Order: sequence, then C-alpha cells, then structure tokens
Amino acid sequence: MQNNGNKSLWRRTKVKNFSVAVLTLLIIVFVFLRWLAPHFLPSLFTSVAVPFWRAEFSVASGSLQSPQQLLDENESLKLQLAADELRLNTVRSVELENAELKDLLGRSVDVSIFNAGGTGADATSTQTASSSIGVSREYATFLRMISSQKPAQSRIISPILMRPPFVPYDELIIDGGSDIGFSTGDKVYAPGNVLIGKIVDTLNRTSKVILFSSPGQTYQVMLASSSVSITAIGRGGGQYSAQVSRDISVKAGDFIINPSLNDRAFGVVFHVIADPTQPFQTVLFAPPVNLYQLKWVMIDKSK
Amino acid sequence: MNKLTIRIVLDIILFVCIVNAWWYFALPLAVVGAFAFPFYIEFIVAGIMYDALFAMVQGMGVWAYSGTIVSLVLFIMITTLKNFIRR
Repeated sequence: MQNNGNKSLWRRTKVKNFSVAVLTLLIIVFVFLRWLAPHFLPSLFTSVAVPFWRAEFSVASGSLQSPQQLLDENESLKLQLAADELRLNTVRSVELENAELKDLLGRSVDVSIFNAGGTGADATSTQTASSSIGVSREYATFLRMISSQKPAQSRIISPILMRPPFVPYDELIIDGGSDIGFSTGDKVYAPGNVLIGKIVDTLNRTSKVILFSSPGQTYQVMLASSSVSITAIGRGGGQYSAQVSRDISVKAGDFIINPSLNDRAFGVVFHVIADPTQPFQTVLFAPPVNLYQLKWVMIDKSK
Repeated sequence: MNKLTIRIVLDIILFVCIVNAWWYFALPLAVVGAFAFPFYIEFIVAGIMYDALFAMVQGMGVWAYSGTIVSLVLFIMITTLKNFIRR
C-alpha cells in the first residue's frame, strides 16, 4: 500500500518536472526565435491561415454566385460608375464656377478698406469682403484637395483579408507582401485617395498595415478651415481626437489635413465637445471612408 | 466519443477561432480545455499563433505578445489549481 503511494507520488513529481522542463524549453525556443528569426513564427502561421482568409474573402466577394449573376452585377456597376462620373464632373464644374464667381466678388472690393480699418458702412463692406475672400480661400483649398491626383502607376490595389474589429490593435492584414514588392513604410490609401495607414510588417504573401488611428498614435494635423495646427490622437476604430482652443471655430463637416503625410483630406470632423468651463474643446474626427466596410486598399510603393 | 476525439474537435474549433481572430470564443474554449485535459499545451500554442498572425510587430512593445503572455499565465494558473484541487 505504502509502495503504491510512493510510486504514485514519484510519478506525479516526474510528470510535474517534465512539464516544467518542456515549458521552460518552449519559452527559451520562443525567445530565441523572436530574436534570431523574428518572421519565422508569423510566416509559419500565416502560411496556414492565408488559404482560409482568401477563401473567406472570395466568398464575401461573391465568388459562389453564378456566372450570370456576376455578369449582371458587373454590368449594373459599370452603368452606376458611368452615372456617378458624370455627376461628379457636373459637380466639379459647378464648384469651379462658384469659386471663380466668389474670387471675382473678392477682387471687386477696394483693398484700402482693410488697411484703414473702416467703420459703419465700411465695416459691413469689410466683413462681406473678408468673409467672401475667406470662403473663397477655403473653396480653393477644398478644390485643390479633391482635384490633386497622384499618378496611379506607383500604386497597387490589394484586398483586405482581415480588418477591425475582428483584428485587434487597429490594423489590417492585406493580401500581398514581399512577393509583389511591398515593403515596410509603404503608404496605404483607401478608395478616394484617403491616406489611412502604412505597412509595418511584410511577410512573403501578406502584410500588416497599422492604421493611423491606432490608439496612442499622434500626428500634427491642421484644421483646413482656419489653418490651425493641432495634435491628433488616435482613439482606435478609425477615430481621432484633438484638443482645440475654445476660441477657434470648429463645426461638424470641417476638413482636417495632414501636411506631413499628404495635403489631401485626412479626416472630417463629426463631433465637437465643448465644455464652457474648459479652455479647450475636443474635436472628434474620422477618415471620410468607413474602415469597417473597406474591401480594397491601394498601396503606394513610391517613397 | 473518447477523450482524444473530443480534444481533437476542440483543437479544430480553437484553430478556426484563432484564424478568424475570435479571441472571445477561443479564450473560454481554451480555458475549458485546460481544465478538462491534462497538459493542454494547445492553449499556449493558440496564444502564440494569435500573436504571430495579428501582432508581433516592432513598436508595439509588450502588447505584441499579449496573447502569448495571457495564455502562458492562464495555463500555469489552471495547472496549479488543478494540482491543488486534486491533492
């Protein structure tokens, strides 16, 4: 009886020692792998996961539909695209005409009114003229933002295999890696030429994109309406926040640009939190695209 | 259905959850597996796999290994608890 008890205790101790030894060995191997070959484990597991991700993407993109359904959908999308292009050209020509008319209105006012600091009727003219020129400047900035186009030759379109909220850390996993020339630091654009992030890790067939809105990331941005420089802080989920002085006029719909990254629209203000007791107001803004619905991104390989 | 078959099925479900980043399903499943089966090392492998797929990026600091750390800590805690209960 006593022998059986001793045997059982010995066996349990042996199993425990073996478990501890295996665990310690695993930890040591893991640390060395991360130090000597940092891409070994990600490449290994990604090569297993990529076929599943691509299959899910194909199913979500409609590859299980019949050929006739796909052809019909393709035709209807082409017609919709043609109609949208026509509408966009019409809108652009009206905006250009609007900007030209406002510029003309601005030029017709005598500049000496601003220098003398006119009062009474002159002050009204000053306000009208300065507001016209201010609006005209904003329109010119807006037109420059929407009309400036980067040559598309250096960009590659890439499907998104995994996106938030399923992927933690506010990142995207895109199809394409070093096999098609992606590299760390390449900028990532959403449709509409909206800069949303950059590649931080490249494997053989996939890449990890960190969104600029990742929690804790900070950027120097600018309010397009007032050209005030502010610090944007990523909140995750494609949202940013920034502290702005209470004296600066900000409203929902105002554009945010990031001159250090590009001069295009970086975000659009969707809410302003103003507390009368605080000297600052909190501006919440987000990219003009819904990151949770993105299926494709464009990678700019030019540095 | 013997225990080995159940363990294999659980491992497959765990794998699917990790590949799709459904950590909120994977974690409770792995905890159940660690309690139900001896030396459930798949728990730690799942944590490492999760980090390898979605984290392990320079500049993320310790957050890049959160899956590995959580799985390791929980595995050790559950193993210790099991040994304590069975004593």
